[in-house]
Amino acid sequence: MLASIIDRLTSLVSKYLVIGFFIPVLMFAFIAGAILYHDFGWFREWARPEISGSAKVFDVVAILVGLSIVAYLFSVLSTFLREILEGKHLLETWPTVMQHLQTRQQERLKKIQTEYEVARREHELITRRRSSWRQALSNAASTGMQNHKNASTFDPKSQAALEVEKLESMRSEAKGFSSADVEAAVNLLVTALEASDESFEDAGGHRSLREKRFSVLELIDYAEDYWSSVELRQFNERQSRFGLSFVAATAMGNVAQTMQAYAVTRYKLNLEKFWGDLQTTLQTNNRDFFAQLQDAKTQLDFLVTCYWLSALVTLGCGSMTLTKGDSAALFLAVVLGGPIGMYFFYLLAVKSYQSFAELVRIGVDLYRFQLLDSLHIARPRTARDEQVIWSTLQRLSYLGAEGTELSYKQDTLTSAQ
Amino acid sequence: MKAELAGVRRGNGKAGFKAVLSGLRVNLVAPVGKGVELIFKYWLGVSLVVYIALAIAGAAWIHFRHVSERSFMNWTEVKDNVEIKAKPEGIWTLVHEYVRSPALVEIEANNDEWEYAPGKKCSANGDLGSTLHPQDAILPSAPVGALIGKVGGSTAGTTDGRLFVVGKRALLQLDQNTSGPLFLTINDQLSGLQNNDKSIKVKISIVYVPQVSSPATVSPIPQPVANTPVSGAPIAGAPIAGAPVPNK
Repeated sequence: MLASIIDRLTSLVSKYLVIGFFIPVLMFAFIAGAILYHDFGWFREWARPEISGSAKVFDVVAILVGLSIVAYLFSVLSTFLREILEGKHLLETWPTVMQHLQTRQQERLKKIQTEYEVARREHELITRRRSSWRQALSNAASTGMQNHKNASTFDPKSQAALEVEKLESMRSEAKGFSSADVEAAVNLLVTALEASDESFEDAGGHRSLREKRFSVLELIDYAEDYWSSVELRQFNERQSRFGLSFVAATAMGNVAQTMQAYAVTRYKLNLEKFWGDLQTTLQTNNRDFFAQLQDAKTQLDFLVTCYWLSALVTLGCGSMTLTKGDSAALFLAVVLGGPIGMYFFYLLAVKSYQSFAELVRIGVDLYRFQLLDSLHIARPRTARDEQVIWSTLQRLSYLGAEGTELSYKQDTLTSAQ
Repeated sequence: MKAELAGVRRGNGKAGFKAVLSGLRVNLVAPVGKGVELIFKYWLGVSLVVYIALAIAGAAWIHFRHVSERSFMNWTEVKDNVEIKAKPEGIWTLVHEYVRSPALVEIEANNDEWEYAPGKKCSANGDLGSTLHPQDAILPSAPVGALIGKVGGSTAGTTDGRLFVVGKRALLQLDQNTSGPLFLTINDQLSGLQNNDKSIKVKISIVYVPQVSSPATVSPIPQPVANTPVSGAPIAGAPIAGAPVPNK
């Protein structure tokens, strides 16, 4: 029955409204209903005929219409509600809390930044020294073989061997080690290699020294790959989670800023100003991409609506069970489960917002020239030209034509292209 | 600070007072400020602990409230001194417009006596030695002259609604299918109602219970007064609304 109702509603109104708002409202109405049914006789009395199926059609229609109105209200308020999660409106009226939240976000940014810088430095150092380490080990092995033919004083319990084993165990735990650690191991092993013949076989038939040398060569490669991946991960994290210099009070606020920051730093394109135009361009030029963008937005709205409905159900049912309810366990489940739900919905919303922001960035990368075409502006020849064009367009949109110089593309040129 | 302390040494009162205040700020305000700073530093953890503590306090409050409600019956509606005439205007006296089930209804009559026939007095428990046959009365299973009740039906019906004997005191458990107006009257022959006299006053208490699925679920029933009949459970042979009327 629910599926058919949803199908009907989808055909009547947009899929976006149904999935983004109506389904969460329906879901949380059910949860609130279950809580009230458990604890309140008057609700049970009212709900019993509805559950047994003997309810009047009028009741069912009234409930669905009521829920649809609530869903529509949520769709109207969606931007405002999302902006509250971004740290606007409510938090702005409470500067002390906002300041503390901003400090926390700043600390997170600093952590990512530091990790990125460390990874970048280590990656660079290891890449730069890799060949010299390899060479030093190779030279030391040759020297050892020449000077101490068929003789080895290498002790598997020596400091060099222990150092290599330490790095091996760190690798097996998927941990990274610094260039200094690698350098220390290489230096110790070079000394050991120079003092023995690495091709000498011990009583067990092992060439321990050679095995250690090969192991160090593998460890150098591992360290390089490790720091390279950490660098890339932290760079992506930095780009997808934080904007430019200003740090917002919440994670969502910072994700929101990444889109604008990306467009401004790459193309000097003020996305806040041109987003509406770009959306129209996307709708005309690439419907598939626009549908993808809408789906991502629907997911985000779904999670934001779920977050606020969790808050409402927690507040409403929590206060009702506290004042009139009989079950302490139900009250605890509501007031503890509600915030946990809110926390998870918020985390999911942040992740979903990151995906949405990624799509917006892709949209900017791929379709900004089509936007220029629709604005009858000639496409730039260089990246610098493009930055000048977007800055000029922004000036034009805010200040009008006064003091701006911009040529429009001729129709003949358009048709030739 | 040094200048102020010098003022104290020189006997300058104003500077000395300032120094004392300054000292207080250092000794008292500073730790408080540090505490506030710590709270702000760990505000998320502090808020979480406070929230959980409040939730537990709320749950404890609900629990104790529920326990106390179970220990002491809280009647939702109470009507006292309701007069039931032995010679009613019709057959029944309407005492409550509508009892919404499931509910517990307690009816308690006072010690007054009424007359079910000229000179034949009895209490709400009825006259066990009456010469009249109860089979001819409104509720054959109850003694003549006893206070009887009905849930549902009309002021003039004898077979509509659910009939029960009240006596001096009754606690009636209404299941979810029994709702309606509450009537009381004297158990007498219909033709004999006109020669009755006097009245009895009753107290009616009603509590609406969330669900009465079995008697065990309705535990908070007050203990009955010794030597008084307690009724309320479905009465064998009592007319049930909609059921065929037995021939008299």
